[in-house]
Amino acid sequence: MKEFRQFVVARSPEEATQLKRSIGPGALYLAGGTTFVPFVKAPVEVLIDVSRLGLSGVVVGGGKVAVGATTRIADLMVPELRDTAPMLYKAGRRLATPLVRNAATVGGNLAYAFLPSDFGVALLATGAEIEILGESARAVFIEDLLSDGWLGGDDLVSKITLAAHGRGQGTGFAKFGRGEVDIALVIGAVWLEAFGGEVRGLRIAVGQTSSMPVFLKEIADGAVGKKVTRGLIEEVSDLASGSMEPRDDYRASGDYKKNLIRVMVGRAFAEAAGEAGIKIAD
Amino acid sequence: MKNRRAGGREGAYLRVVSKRLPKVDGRSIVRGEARYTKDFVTEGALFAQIVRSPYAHARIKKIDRTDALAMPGVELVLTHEDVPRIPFTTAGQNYPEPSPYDTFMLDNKVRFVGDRVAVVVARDRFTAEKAARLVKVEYDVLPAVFSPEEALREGAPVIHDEPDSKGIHDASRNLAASIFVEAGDVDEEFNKADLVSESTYYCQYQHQVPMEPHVTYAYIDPSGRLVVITATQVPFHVRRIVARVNDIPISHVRVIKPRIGGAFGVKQEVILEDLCAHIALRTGKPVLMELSRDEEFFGTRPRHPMKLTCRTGVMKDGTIVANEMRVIANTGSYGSHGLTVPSNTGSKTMPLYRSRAIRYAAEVAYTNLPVAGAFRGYGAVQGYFALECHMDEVARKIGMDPLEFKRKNHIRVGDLDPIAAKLGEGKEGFKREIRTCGLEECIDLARGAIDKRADVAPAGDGPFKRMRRGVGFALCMHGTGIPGDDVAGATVKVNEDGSFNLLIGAADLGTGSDTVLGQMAAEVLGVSLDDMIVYSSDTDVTPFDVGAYASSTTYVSGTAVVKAAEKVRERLREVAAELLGVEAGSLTFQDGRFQAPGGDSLHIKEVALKSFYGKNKQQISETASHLNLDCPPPFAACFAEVEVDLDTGMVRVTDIANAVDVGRAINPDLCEGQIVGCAAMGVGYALTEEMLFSAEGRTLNASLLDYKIATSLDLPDIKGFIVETVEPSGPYGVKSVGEVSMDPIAPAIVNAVFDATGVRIRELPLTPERVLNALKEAGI
Amino acid sequence: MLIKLNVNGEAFEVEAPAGETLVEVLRRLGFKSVKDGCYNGTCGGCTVLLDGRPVASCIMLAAQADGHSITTLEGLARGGELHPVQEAFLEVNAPQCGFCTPGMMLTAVSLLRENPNPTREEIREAIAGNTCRCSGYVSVVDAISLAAKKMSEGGNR
Repeated sequence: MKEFRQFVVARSPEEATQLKRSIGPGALYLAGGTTFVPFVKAPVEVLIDVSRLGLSGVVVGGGKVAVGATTRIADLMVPELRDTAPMLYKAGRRLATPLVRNAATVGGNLAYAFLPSDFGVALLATGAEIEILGESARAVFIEDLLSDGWLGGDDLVSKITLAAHGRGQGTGFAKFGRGEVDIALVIGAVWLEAFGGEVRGLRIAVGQTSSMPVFLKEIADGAVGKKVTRGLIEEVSDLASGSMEPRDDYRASGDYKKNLIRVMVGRAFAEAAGEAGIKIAD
Repeated sequence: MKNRRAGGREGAYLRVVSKRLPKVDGRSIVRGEARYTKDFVTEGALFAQIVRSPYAHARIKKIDRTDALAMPGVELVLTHEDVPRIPFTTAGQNYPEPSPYDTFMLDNKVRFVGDRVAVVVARDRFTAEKAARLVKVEYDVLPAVFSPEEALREGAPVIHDEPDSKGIHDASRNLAASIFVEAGDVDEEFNKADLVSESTYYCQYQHQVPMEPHVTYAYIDPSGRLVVITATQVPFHVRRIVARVNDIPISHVRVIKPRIGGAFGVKQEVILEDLCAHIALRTGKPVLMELSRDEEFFGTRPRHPMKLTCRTGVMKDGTIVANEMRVIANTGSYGSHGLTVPSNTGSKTMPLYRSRAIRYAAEVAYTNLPVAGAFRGYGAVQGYFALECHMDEVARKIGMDPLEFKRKNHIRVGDLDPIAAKLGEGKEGFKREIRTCGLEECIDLARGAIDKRADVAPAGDGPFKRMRRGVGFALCMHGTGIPGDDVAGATVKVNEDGSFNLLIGAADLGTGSDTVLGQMAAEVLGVSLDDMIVYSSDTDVTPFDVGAYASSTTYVSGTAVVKAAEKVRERLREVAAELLGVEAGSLTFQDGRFQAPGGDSLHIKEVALKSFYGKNKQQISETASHLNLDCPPPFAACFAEVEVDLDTGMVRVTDIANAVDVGRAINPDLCEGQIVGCAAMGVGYALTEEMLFSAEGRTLNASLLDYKIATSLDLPDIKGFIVETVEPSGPYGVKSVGEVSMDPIAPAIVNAVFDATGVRIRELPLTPERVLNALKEAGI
Repeated sequence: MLIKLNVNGEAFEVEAPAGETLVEVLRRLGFKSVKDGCYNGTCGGCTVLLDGRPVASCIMLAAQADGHSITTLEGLARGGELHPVQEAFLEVNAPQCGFCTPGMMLTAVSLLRENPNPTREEIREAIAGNTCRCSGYVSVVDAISLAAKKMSEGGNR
């Protein structure tokens, strides 16, 4: 049993954010509960249930895919979305277990981004606009959200919008765990746009256990205009790995994780190239 | 995937035995009506939560219970000052137990992070857990040791410095046990050998991870007797130990094992019962104790970690002339199973290969780590990991194919086991002749079952994902019961409708022994399994049985069941004879009918009815007991295919076949269940499962999140095969299946990794990081 | 707080602390087939169907299930008649210790509603959150395959 004073089912986003503001850190938003219930040990006073605010559902249109924050992860992995937003399926595929995916939400996954968040890493790679309600209501690009320090105060994520998958684009999501079902030791996520075998756009994000995701803007930008070759992929992976100093923990040593970053970024890049229809030159 | 059974020798005409009958408890399980220990707890029962030590080694100076007691709903807080100080072993073994008596219900010293300090009794679990955190303990922290090497070193802190422990080999040296056995002159044979090869292996703490954590419910019944309903493998040992440590007569205690959610050895132990019983006696109220999943990891009895050094002398033609294994085992902070598991490491493995001289030695050290205990395989799993990898290496060193080498040297029918003559399980040796050995059939089946894909590259192999495939194998033999020690009783009682009550002490852990023993009785009596009403593991009602361990139930309890059923059948034969007006000796019995020479016959059910309501009214009921004097080995061969990811070190088992000579499969479904289940557990042992500790001895991964057991996605369709050799000493030819099936798995996988990469890894588990380091060291 | 649950078609009004998990409440109501093996959503023994979808009830507050419909194993059999999934598990002798079995079967029921003819690989994907320590999963996959066959022959439920 969890211990807290009150469980409030918010009837509107305003009610939710107002309550959060008035209580402060002692109040937590609850969507699926699949992280809070088992893993949050810090004392909580009030739980604010935001799952009944109508913030669920996926709308595809105008070249965009708008995902409501409390959409269940299982609902993102439907065949209808595979071609429009392939990264969503890839990020969900090995996230915990089917049981968790039937209750967990995208918004919740983003809120606990330090675990790491499979979707946080995936969306940094594809790019996404995050709509936030509350005192500092705003729509912000996910990489700016990251550099701003992620979420705080009474921020309530309400919608995540990403561009629909287009021609010449490819996504790659390489997650490494100690088994098929595991939290990620390392995630490499890549989005690629290419033309004539050359990089037009590249986005790389890396996740590792117990850390916030990392967006490798400079390394990715440095590849623009270059031909997608095995050498480029290896170079980018080496740079990615070289830019990070993972810590030792009981799950894996820092050195091993550093190697994994190189391998996962490389595999994600190769996967994205494949999806974009590129035959990787030697 | 039915009909994987091959090599069966039908021979005897069997009607119930040998059939894939539904488990007697199957229906209740699938309907959700099966009752496990916690399901018996009544409203208003208390909950007791153990307060645990945060230190690996410390003396308890002071315990302040004030804040805990002040909490509403808290009934009681007990410390070492409140409970009897009676040294005992928690090991569920027959009396007198071969494990040291080095444990106390509550002690004034703690010896590992998680050790019992006190217990809080409250109105519910939530309150008890909260109050437990309010108990303030002052410790005098002592230096701790976390490896046998450290513990055995001169000047190491003494873990068991208490004067009242008994049976420790040398407490001043932290030496819980010491084992030595030699047959022939090993050193002389080493000198004569053409090649001597030595290698050292390391294996880890593996946890059984039963799906149901330990749970015990104790209450005082209306007649004033203590009743303990508990998830145990050993109800009778629990009864004896609970009575002893609470200083009450055994006759005051009743122990019942209901359905339990898995055990695999971890419930061959008194983990909660001593304390739970004590609280029930003290308060007069029903008490529940249940471990949380993290407590289940560090507060129970995982597998003994070991360092094993194998040394073998061979001739150029591949004949083994000298074979030695030296073991340093870590038994954790208390010695339960500390002598017997490492003994088994030698006694179960060394006889596999014929050799002019054999030597086995083991030193078993205490450390300030969680207590090791009984785990399926019981030392043999560790031993075979080392032996079967080592022999793979030896073969290659003399340029011989490993399969040819092992086939040349393994034990055969007619051989005598040279180790058994000298080393029992903490007991005297005995003569062990091999009467059945289906190893060759096992090898052929398992090998043939692995799809030959050597020429096809693994899926995904490419510049960014370099994959290699390999195949490896291992052989093994195990045992069946503990000779001179395992004893079982069974009662068969006639009912007027020709059904029979079968009362057995034997413990069904989900293994299906209720069903299997019921099938054996039904076979003897010529009735169907549905005519048997099986009731087990209730110390007030069922006869004594040592419990489910040492792979003894089908063989030993089965013999008692057969004897009891035969006695009943003979009594009914006399009744039939009287009814038919013939001599009892002239009747034959076939298909449930007593047949007179003249042609008249009576079905056993008719005789049963007449025995109640005919002229000579009586209740026919017979009890039989069987003391096991033998240990016929089952054999197994496992072939495994792995794919190794050279860039991450990740190893996946992509195909695995486990073939086992079980003597006879009483119920092939349940037998296959053991063969396949053991293989899954072995894959975890080989690749992912290990308990990890901080520098201060705290268990770091006491959660299913970080202690990785296989999910459905981590395993291929494991192929299990039954081989039947019909062992003469076993009822219907049985030997055993529950432990032998796990022995060859890890070495088969490790040998497969060698085949795939050319890299020999000698430490389990083969985690991706460990494998990658080895690959990098080898320049791959 | 007062929580309204519909369990196996029956309406319950439960007074429960806000922090009580769904598995705790269900067991308290007498649905003992729902097992609590880990309390962090990693073993799957607590699986129930929430509006038909398998979820881990130990990582869901009972309050979250307010107003929703829940199915436990007790609700699967129709009187004396077993559901084809139950029949199949029985026929292949899949349950060993039986602790994971209720969760496995509920996950199977949900899978077969969505995918009446799953491959063995698809079955393994569906039960990835239901850990079994006894069987090595082969007999479980056998049982679910058999159930699919039974249901396609005898009509769905």
